[in-house]
Amino acid sequence: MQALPAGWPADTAVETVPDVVADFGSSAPGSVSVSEWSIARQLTGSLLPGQVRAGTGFSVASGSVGFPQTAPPLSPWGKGAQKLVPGGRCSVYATPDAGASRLALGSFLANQASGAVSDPAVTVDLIEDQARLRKRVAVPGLSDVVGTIGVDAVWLIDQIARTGGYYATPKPSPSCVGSLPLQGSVIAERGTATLAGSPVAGWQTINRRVYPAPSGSGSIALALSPSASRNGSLFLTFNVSGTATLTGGLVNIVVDAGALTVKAGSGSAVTYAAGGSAAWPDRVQVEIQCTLAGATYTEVKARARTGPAAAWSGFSTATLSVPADSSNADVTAVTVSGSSAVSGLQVTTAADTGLWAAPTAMLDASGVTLDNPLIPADGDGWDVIQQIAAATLGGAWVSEAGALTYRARDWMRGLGAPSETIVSETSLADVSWSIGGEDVADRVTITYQPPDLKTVTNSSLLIWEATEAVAVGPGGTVTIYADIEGTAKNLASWLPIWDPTAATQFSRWAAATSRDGGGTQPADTALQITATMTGTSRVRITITNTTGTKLWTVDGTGTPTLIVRANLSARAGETVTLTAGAQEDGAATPLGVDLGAWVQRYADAQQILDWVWSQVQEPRATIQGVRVKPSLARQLGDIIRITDTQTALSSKALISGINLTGSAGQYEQTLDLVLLEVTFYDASQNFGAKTFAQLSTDWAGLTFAQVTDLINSIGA
Amino acid sequence: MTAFLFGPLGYMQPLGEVRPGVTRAPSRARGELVTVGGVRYVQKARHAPRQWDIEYAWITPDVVRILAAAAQGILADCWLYDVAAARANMLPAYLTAGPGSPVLVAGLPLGALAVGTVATVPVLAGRTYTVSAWSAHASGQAAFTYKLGAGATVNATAPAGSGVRVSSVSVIPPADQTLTVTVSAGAGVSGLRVHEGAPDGDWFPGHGTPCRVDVIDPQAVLQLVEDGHGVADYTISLQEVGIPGVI
Repeated sequence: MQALPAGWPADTAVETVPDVVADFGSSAPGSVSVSEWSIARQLTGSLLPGQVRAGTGFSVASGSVGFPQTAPPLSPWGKGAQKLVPGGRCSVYATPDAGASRLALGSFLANQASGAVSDPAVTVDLIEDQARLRKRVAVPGLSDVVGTIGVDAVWLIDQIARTGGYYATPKPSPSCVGSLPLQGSVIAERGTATLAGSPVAGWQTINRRVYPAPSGSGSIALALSPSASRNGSLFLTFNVSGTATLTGGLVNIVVDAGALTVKAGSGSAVTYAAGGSAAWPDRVQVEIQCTLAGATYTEVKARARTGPAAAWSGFSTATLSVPADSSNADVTAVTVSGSSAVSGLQVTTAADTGLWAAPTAMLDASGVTLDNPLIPADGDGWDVIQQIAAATLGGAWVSEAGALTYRARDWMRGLGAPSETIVSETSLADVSWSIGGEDVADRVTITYQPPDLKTVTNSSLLIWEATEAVAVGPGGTVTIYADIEGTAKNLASWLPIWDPTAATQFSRWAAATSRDGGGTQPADTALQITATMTGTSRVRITITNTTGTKLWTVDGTGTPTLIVRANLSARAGETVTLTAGAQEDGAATPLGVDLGAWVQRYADAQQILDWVWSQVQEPRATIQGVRVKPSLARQLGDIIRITDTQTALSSKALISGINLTGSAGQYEQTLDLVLLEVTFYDASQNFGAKTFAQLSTDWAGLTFAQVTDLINSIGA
Repeated sequence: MTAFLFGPLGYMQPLGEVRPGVTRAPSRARGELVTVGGVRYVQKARHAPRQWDIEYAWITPDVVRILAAAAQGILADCWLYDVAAARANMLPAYLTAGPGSPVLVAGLPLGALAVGTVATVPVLAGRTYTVSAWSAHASGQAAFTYKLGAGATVNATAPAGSGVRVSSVSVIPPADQTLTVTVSAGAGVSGLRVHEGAPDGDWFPGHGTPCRVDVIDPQAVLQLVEDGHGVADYTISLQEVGIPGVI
């Protein structure tokens, strides 16, 4: 559900239809009230058959708006403000009060405009604006992964989103000295994170935001870059669930998000007020100050608040006596420890308002662990996000308000509380259903590609070999980019090919003064070469000629010779196939699902297989295109409960498609619903930890019908 | 006294010799949803543009000259001033009450207007206009301000007394110009009304007059041609266009 803006009229039986405005910005026709409009969003591109109890894949919104012609009229050959050209941005919003309160309906690009001299209206077809995600993406590969845990697939989405300007946690603010987003990996965005022990057991979603699942032991140290002086204030701003323990060096700062308290070391806890920021209900800012008396730190004070303009709490003061010397003059690292779920941590020396910038990406932890993110070097961001969403059985789309949204498979198959109950008698024009056997399968095959990981310590793994000679002028520098298969880490240092070290070790170069390899052998220092990873699968090689003659990178026979070696390489390995159901030769309706390299662990693939198999063994009903009492707050991916007493339907459902059409004085909304019946998986998630004796106590006195209701309303 | 004035702002002319029985027909776009359980929901458009059908009998063309010129498009941006409507309330409906908590306006619970709501209406020279609004403001506290054209802004204060009361002021514009009313600070002002006439302590729903209209070409039935102009019956439709309340 989208939050309705303040001043939005309450839901009534007689509704005064809000104006729908298409804002073309500075291009013609500017901001116009539309007469006809339609917007459609639908999850498509799923790897799964339509009846499966989940919507997955991705959604690209489309729409059209019609607005009255202006005088003089707009046309493709008009002059100045009358010239109508496609391609410009167009945001569509609804407003009940001439623009004072606005509800976004989508951000689009004007795709095609059409009109006629005799037509009093112009129609513009709209497609979703994804330009920012359409960049080629370069995500750092394994080289920055610290510790032993794999990364969650959402980390890739987050990295791509950040390149496109979609931030799930605020981007580093101007005074930031350390940023640790903790969106699926422990890689720091600014500063360097190191792990002590195993503080992170996995990744979880709390209130539609990604947090690490703390293991309860170990800690993450974020080394600040540059370090912050202890004489000034230090601000720690982070999302927290539960109790967080952080330290800026001298004492622990404990923030209890449940009790709303902050406590510095031995000081007493002080309470702070919640609800300072609508965009960040779980975000807290802690200010830490040290008091220096002579050459001794005598106090550490901490206070907290929950919004950029919220009032600060009082100070919690820890008294101490620590000699101030050069070793502790600066705060060099901030440590997160204990059983706290903390994410989006930024360490700053000022209370920048950017620390509270509203999120433009809403991500879930995917539940799929990647040991080695492999992004094709020529991948475009949105393509990669689509592939990840499909392979993790999640869903990805850009929301009405323009936020990149990724929902994990647990959500897409209904492990969430319904946001509303739609009762057919009072809200639906009809309940049309269909059920058929075409989506039933008697054999399911899941294929995935675990990475092929090789490590050595003698720099002997061949990563790349040049196929063309490079000419470097006297004293000149040439940079070339090599696209490699998979990814690599710890690139080897460079030696000339004639160096006596074993020929299969180290990165190698050769040089000759002529293209065909002739001339005298240059000095060992003739070329100075460095190689660095600039993306998952791309190496930048910089070659500097230190001699006074032009050199070619060829050996004595004219063969191009530049060889990159490394200590670690990872490539998509052999495809692994898991099956369920009938034997291959006996299967009448087999279903194959290829998860590609986006699923890399057996446990993840097996879990997906179990679930898909449970979904395709018998025909299931789908509900398509039901007209509902409209609400502009409904969004794609919402989980609702739908009930119909005539057919005794009471089920959770996922909105997998949403169509809006509007004209003078009315608008209609139709929904595509995926019914999410309660499965054994849901039941085991809810009751799995209980013994029958406990259930017997819990359910004492209930009739069978009441227990059935209880099970049917799991998650409601 | 004529029931209608018509023309570009500043050049309005009375429409004389109009036959009785002019129809004023609002058309509000609406949508309907009836659920499987038979529950009806209705959606309505914010504005209901009107149409006036005006008839003339046995008149010479000079009487409908201005309407014919407007229909031909050579007279730009014409407005219709409906005197009957102006005596009720000249403001468009959405400027008479707002989304705030209800204020008892002449016995009706109308939502309070947002502070700073601005209503602008074209007014005619020499006629008495009264601006009024309802509030529970303290005596002497400004309920709204008003100004004529680019003139000075004047406060209209609440009268002595307690409870929800009507504050009203009357003006006589020296020339055709605009009257701008702004709701003052202090929440709980509703029932804004501008009408032609003296204060009467009452409130009527807004009509939005004068309003921009489009004239559909006069249909003529020729009756008699002798010396001079031909005499004919005319049927003329005027349709409200544009956003009400926006000049």
